[in-house]
Amino acid sequence: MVDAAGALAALVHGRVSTRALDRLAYSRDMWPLATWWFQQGRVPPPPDAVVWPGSDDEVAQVIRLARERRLAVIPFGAGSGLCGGTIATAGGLALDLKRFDTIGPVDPQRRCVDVGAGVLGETLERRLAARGWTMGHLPSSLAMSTVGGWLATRSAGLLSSRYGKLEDLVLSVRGVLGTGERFETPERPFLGPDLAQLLMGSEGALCTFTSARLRVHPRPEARAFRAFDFQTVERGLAAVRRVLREGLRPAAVHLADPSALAFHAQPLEARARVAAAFLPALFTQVGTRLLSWPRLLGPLARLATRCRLVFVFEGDPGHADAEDRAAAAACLSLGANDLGEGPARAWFQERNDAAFRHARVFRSGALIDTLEVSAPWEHVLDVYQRVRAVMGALAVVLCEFGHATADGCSLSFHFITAGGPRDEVEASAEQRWRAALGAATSAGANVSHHHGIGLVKRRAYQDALGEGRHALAALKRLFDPDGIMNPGKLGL
Amino acid sequence: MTTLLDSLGSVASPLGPGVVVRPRTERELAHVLMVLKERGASLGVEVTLDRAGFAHLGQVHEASMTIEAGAGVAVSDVEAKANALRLSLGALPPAAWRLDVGALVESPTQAFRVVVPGRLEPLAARVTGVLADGRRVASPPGPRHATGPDLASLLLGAGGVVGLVTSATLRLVPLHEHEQRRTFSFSNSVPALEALREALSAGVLLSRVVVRSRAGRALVEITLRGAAAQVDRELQLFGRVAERGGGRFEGQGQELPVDGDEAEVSWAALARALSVGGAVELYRVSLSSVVARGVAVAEFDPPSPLTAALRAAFDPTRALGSRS
Repeated sequence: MVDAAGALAALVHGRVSTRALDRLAYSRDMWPLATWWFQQGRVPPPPDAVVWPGSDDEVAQVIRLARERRLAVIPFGAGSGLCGGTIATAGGLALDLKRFDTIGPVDPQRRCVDVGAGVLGETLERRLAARGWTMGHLPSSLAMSTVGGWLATRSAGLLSSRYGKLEDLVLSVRGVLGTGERFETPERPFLGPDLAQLLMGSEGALCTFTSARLRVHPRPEARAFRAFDFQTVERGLAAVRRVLREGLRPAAVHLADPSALAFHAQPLEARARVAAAFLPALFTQVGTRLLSWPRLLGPLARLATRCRLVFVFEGDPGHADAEDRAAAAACLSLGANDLGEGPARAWFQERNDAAFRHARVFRSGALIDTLEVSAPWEHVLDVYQRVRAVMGALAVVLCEFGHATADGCSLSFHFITAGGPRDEVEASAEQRWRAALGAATSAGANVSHHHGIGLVKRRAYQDALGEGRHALAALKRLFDPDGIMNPGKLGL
Repeated sequence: MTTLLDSLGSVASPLGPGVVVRPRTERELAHVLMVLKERGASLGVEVTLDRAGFAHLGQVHEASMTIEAGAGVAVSDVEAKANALRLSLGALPPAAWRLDVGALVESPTQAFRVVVPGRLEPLAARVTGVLADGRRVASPPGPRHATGPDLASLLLGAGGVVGLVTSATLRLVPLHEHEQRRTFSFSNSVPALEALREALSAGVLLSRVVVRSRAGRALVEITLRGAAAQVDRELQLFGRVAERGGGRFEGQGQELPVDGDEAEVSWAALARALSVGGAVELYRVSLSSVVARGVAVAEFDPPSPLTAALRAAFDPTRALGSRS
């Protein structure tokens, strides 16, 4: 590695590091198990070096050198992934793209903007907002994820019901293949396969992205918020389907099941200060002990059936208001309790706080893991019930439904479990993933809606691919013939 | 010596100087492609492919508004079955109704529909097919996924250059109960096209648009379909957008037809075509591109080197022929 570091330094004007602290910083993403490892003083395998290229040519040269030296290359954005997608299982080079930080001018006719792969989501949205535009892509990781990371994992944002997932917002992508060749995908109209769709989601296993041309829209003039309570999850899901079927286009749809509603409930302001002071300690003392008994908590949770649905409409003020009223009429006809805009506005404002709540759970010594999948509407309820049935004995299970479209939605399950001895925690985490994914896919779900595959879902992904794994392997041979790009991810 | 006809087996029959193959299963189609590869023969040259054997027209999933159909099923038959349940494939360009499902889903022009706000999404929620190397590929279930590269894009809208579709789960919409046309005038085609793009961004779904540019004036006739309340909301929205863009309401519209072939064109190509006057009829109107009738030239960049590399990797002998 010492020789390679010298050669790398020459390629990238010295912007390479083999210092232990840098390697440690790039040794993991936000995979919950890796977070737990860190808390136990353990470090996942770090890369041998961190490289900060600043141009497409430099990236190409680094990858060509890596091919010559048979070094793994792990493209790295901001490390906010939840599936272990950037863990350097075979050492090698962490290729940090953050120097690709340019945001071009908005083309108002074509409604697009060229953005470097290293640009942070929040920076992009703020810059666009200052010019009167938005991408409408607001993942909960907005402040700590990059455009390159979004491309690599087919990210989804809170407003995906209207604006689509990241792959719906991309006009073209630019980057470097595992062969060391630069590429740029064509924009519509074009002939042949959609190459951008073929490369997005490859999690660094085929190529690295350096920039993208992204769709933008005028910033919405107005937003309309409304929340409803339903007596059952079935009713809440029926309301979502009806609203979409009536041609209404909410920007955000979020249905919290009874357990999620309880976990994320906002205490009244007067109680909030008290809660903030005492709840963490209380949770540590009582909560973690209760978590050791999910078989007791599960039946208790099933006694609660009330769920909460939130809609956000946005755009032209008159149009957003008309859609909001039509959605309310549809929900009321299904027996909803109209809560008005307050709870919906609060949910929207605090939408990114969930990660901090999760951190509180971690601090208490417990583990919280998230599994997100999607399914067509005819299977959504079955997926929900089967995962809860299987996981109820292993963890406290919360579920949030979102990213709804006319043909289906995503289900985000959160599993909370007590901590314990290291071996037990790791074994039970593996058992939970296998059980939950098995239950979800057997009920008609896919393996991931927007978190990707990484390390944690690689086996389930390869199983789900079936014969399609040969097509994936053929792409790997074509675009990364030496297998240096992010080895071990996607099961490749 | 074994002839091509013999090698292809029972799925093949003579057709003039050539051979027609009618596989009924993916295994049979894979066998055909393997034989073509071994013999250095190609579809469309020595062998004609008839996918009528993939004739399965499955159930309509009313909850997700989808329907499963084999590649050989006529698009019009899918529509008829959907209509029986008050559902529809929606406002497809006219040429789409003459295709079968396989051709529809493989077509670079026809394989997509428009959803708010002016973005394209595949008509097929799921697709299965056989790649040129004889391997089966299928997209995952669910409306969207983050499960690696989208292998379905080897088939969807890909023109059949890497593989062939055998079945698809097509997305439907509620059968429209209401249709409204409106005509607006603009000072010329530039603000007219900008108003259309603005309306798409704002959330209007345009089923059909006719733009006539003449003597420094542009007339835009829009057609909206859907539930009555939805059409009313979107007409009001379009009216506000058009007014902001300098448009003037001219009346109800008359569904004026435009002659010519359909082609997918960019907005820039459309603007160039209209700058010299004339009329175009637009379908599948998205922010990325439109399907236009009346525009003489479809403009495509030369295929990407990556596309050529993909074809060489999956179909080194060009068994799929010289499809576009």
